[in-house]
Amino acid sequence: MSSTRGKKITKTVAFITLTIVCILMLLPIVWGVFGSFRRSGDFTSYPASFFPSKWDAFTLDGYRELFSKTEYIPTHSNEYFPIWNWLFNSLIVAIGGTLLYLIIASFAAYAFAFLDFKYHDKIFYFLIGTMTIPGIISTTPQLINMNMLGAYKSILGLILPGLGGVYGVFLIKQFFSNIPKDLIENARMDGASNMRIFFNVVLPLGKSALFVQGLFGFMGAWNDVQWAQLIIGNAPRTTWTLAYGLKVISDNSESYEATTLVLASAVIAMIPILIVFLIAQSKIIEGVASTGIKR
Amino acid sequence: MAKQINLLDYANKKEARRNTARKGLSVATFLGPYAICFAMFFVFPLLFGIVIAFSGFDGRTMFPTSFVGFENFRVIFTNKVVARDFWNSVWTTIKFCLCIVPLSILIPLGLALLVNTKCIGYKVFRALIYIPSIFPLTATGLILLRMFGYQYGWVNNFFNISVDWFGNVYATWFMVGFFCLWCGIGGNFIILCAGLENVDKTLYEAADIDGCNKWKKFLFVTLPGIKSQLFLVLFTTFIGYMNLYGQLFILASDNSDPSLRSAVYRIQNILTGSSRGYGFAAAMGIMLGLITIVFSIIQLQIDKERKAGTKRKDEFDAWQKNN
Repeated sequence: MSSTRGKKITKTVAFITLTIVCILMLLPIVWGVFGSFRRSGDFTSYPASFFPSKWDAFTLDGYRELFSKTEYIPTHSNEYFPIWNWLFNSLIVAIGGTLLYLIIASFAAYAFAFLDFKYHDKIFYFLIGTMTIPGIISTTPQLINMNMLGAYKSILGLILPGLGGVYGVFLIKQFFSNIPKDLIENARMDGASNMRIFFNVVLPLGKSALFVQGLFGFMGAWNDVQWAQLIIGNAPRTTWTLAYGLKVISDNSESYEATTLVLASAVIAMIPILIVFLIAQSKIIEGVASTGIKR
Repeated sequence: MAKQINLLDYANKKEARRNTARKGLSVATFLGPYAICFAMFFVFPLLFGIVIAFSGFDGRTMFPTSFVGFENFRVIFTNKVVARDFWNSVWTTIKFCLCIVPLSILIPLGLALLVNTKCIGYKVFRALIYIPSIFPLTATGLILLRMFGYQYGWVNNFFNISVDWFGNVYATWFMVGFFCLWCGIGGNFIILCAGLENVDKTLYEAADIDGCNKWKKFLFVTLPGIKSQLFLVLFTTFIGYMNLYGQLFILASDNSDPSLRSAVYRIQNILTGSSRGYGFAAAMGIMLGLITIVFSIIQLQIDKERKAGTKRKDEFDAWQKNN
């Protein structure tokens, strides 16, 4: 009796603590979303208000202003934010790059899981071993490599380095290995070619692996700033991605009046990720839990 | 008769050869594209990096123009300005790591324990705590910049204080740490949640029967149960913050104080700047990578020692049984 009561108290305490933590975690994001609809004069309203303080304070000016700066005006070259191009580039990198990698990686995973060739175990262990090499070692040469391939200052340079990634192959191979070998052998007995086995047997059974890897690929590419700064930071603004463009919007809109505009740009960058998260929330959480990828 | 056998032999051999050829072809089609990408975008840069670290650049092109031997490394170690800047930034990074890594494991662990009580709506809580981690750092970062703004930020207004959150070095590091925790603990939290869920429930019952209190249960059942997750989290978090860049770039790029520069920040600055010091950048990258590897090996060694500990125990048990 006392233990069930103790459990109830523990649960209540946990519930209250978690509620407070969640509110604190989401507070800045909620503030940012409401701030993007708020008249700039309202941020200093007295007494301080978390939400826009009155109905009049709601406005779409931030978004209107942001989208009005998509045209190049020589006298205001710092405030040239071609946000449609950025959105487009980000989508190309995030979706195109991820799909390309999924094809290449799942082919390789099939080879490691079901094709019998010399040293295939050893090669696979070698691949896993390379994951421990810190990425910073190859940052500089990768940049020069991209320049040699003509991908410097273009979004191709954001897609290509990801194609050599090991983690996706590893992840997809682990999923493929759970598919019963008999199934593959039977299909082979029936005279199916490897291509057919791959597309008709393995892919339908292992598509959840591709889905998980795809989600993380999308999120990683959409959120990337560091590599983007190296590859496209010196390029014309139309080849930038949204995540990198945000930083420049923020840097060039220090003034108090621009708060609404800056927050609006942040909201625009967050929407696609939020949509992906809402659609595949359980898959993403499961994926993080089972694979250890964090971003 | 003999001729027939020969013919069969011949046919078998030919068939076998054809099979190997077919097999080789399918291996090539499936593994080929990835092999090419892996070679071009992973192996080549890694090897090329060593070449570049020993090369000089004339400042006009991105290509190495001369072989300079250990000159780049010598400069990194002995040149007054370069050495001081780089090693100070490495030291700054390590100090930051030592502060932030324990926090970004202990806080998610605490939260995961709370979620693991399976209170009402725990799945919702799990998703909500993870949410700040999914957004681009630039988006969440610039919300933070505005919210903690000096004159017009909500925080200063609401609490009626005037703290310049990004004004001096310590305040900025505090904010960077805060940012790292806010948008960085999500992944660790989810991993630890999964670990806690997989701890064998019967062990808790056994511990109950043995009369363990809550603290002992946590120490001797829960912690060993999530050991592998804890090490995974420790490992990835540590490597992640040794490469600290994004958070600092977003919150502190307009403050030029050298103590606000992490090691990767220095390297990134060289690469984005116009000085074309790619040789230095590559050499610095190799140094930083080696430091990370050394720390990782130390961590692995600690893990191993623990495993050896159970090995000794097993040996002892076996010995006892035999006697």
